Amino acid sequence: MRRFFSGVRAPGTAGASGDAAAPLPPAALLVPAILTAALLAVLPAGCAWEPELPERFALIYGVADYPVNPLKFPDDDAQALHGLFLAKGFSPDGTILRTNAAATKTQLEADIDALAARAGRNSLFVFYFSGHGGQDSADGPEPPPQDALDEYIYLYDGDGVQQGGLRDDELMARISRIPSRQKVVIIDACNSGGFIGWQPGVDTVPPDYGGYKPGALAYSAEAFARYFARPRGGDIPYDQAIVITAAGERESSYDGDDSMKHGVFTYYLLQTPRRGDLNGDGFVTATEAYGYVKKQIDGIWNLNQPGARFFPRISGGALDFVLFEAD
Amino acid sequence: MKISISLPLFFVIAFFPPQALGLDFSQGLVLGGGTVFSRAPGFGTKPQGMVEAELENLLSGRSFGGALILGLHSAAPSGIRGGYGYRGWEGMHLRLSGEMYLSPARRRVGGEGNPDAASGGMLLRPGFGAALGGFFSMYRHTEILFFYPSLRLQPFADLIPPRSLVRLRFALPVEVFFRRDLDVSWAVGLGAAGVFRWDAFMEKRRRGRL
Repeated sequence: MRRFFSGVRAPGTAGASGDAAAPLPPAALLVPAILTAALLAVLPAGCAWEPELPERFALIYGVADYPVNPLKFPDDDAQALHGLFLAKGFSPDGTILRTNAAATKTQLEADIDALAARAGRNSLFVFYFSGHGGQDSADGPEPPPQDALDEYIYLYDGDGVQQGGLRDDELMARISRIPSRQKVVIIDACNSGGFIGWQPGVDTVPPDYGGYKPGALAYSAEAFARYFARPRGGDIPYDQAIVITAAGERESSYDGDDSMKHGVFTYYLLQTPRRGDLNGDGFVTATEAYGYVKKQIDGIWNLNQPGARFFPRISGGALDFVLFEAD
Repeated sequence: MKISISLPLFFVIAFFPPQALGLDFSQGLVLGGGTVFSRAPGFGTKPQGMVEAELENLLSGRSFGGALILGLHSAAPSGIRGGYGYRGWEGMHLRLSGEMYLSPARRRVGGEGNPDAASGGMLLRPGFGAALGGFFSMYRHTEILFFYPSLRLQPFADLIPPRSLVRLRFALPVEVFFRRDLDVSWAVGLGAAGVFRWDAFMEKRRRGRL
């Protein structure tokens, strides 16, 4: 009989049967232990099968034809994403596209009400906007240090751009009326990083990508302090929605060139069904989509356009939501 | 003036005080794996695989010990049943642990008839440890750095081969992570370590066997 501990025979059996088993080398015990540990670590991956996606709804807004300072591709961005979502099984009558003059604040109110009546608690809701974004302090500056100004997206209202301004807190108030517990907000606009609200972690990419970056020690100290800090209100908190933005709070995002025919951020976002399944499980989550897009922007666009560098952002939090099945 | 100290001499100097207090110093490389169970408010509990590698610096007496542990960890994303899952994360951690050896007089594994017994046999030393941890992690695919503390309890068994400078440790840790973004986060796993016994090294060195 072999004993586990030492690989030697039990007391009293030495030589009795002529079984001269060699002692097991102690280091050999490490191998099964490490294999068992690895097995414990790998087993949960089995739960990735058959994700049973919930019903999915989306509001997709894109404004290019502003009366002043028009953009080139946001309406194309919205149309392409609408087509992608429908092809990926989003609810046909719950996936609403509004572009240019149809994309007004009044219309947004009506669309939110319509989806709020339809979407269940277990559904996924995606809000997407492509167009102008900006910063202002119309209602007074927000508390420093990260968010001293309010951020806006600009819908199509009135004769200019400013009239269509929808503040970060106002967007939060609107999407909070949707009962879905899975919400994703995607904004392809300048300064859109400011829509990301308080979170228990710290974004280690500074609000201005090209600006001053504190060291690892400073970020660690801030992350430590955040653990004990009281959550700050405003914007879209991490526990209300996953927020993915094209740019940081103090950055611009850009229309692509004529070969891209989309905003840079959305151009790469549209590639995620083919290339965004980063863990190979057959589905693209919001975090994976972000991971793919930021890598492309930083590795391709930022290298080729050093004067127009920007970096997408995502909100923190433990949760991740499946957007769609990979191609 | 530049002064250089060789690594062995550094340890001789560094470990003299513990030796004088009757404490043994050892350093271990720990590899562990396990399953983390995560639950966010309003969502279900899902398992995530987690692996760790740690450098353990242990001071131990006859019945008690304490360790400073530096480690790296990585957790895989959970499954996505229901359309949601939990992000993977990875980072560094530090633990302060205390441990108690349940059998102060070390017990010999084997006994009469054990062919190794004449040379001391392999010794088994069971024990129990508790550790407070501080974790700095980033969610996978993001740049968001976050902190959380943890409490780990673990029974363990040290296997001490005769005349060896290395002992083995097998542990069954259970750990609770106090994360702000999760209602529940705890882990169970298995750890295995190879621990270099500086006390035995010093003893051999003293006897001129090294």
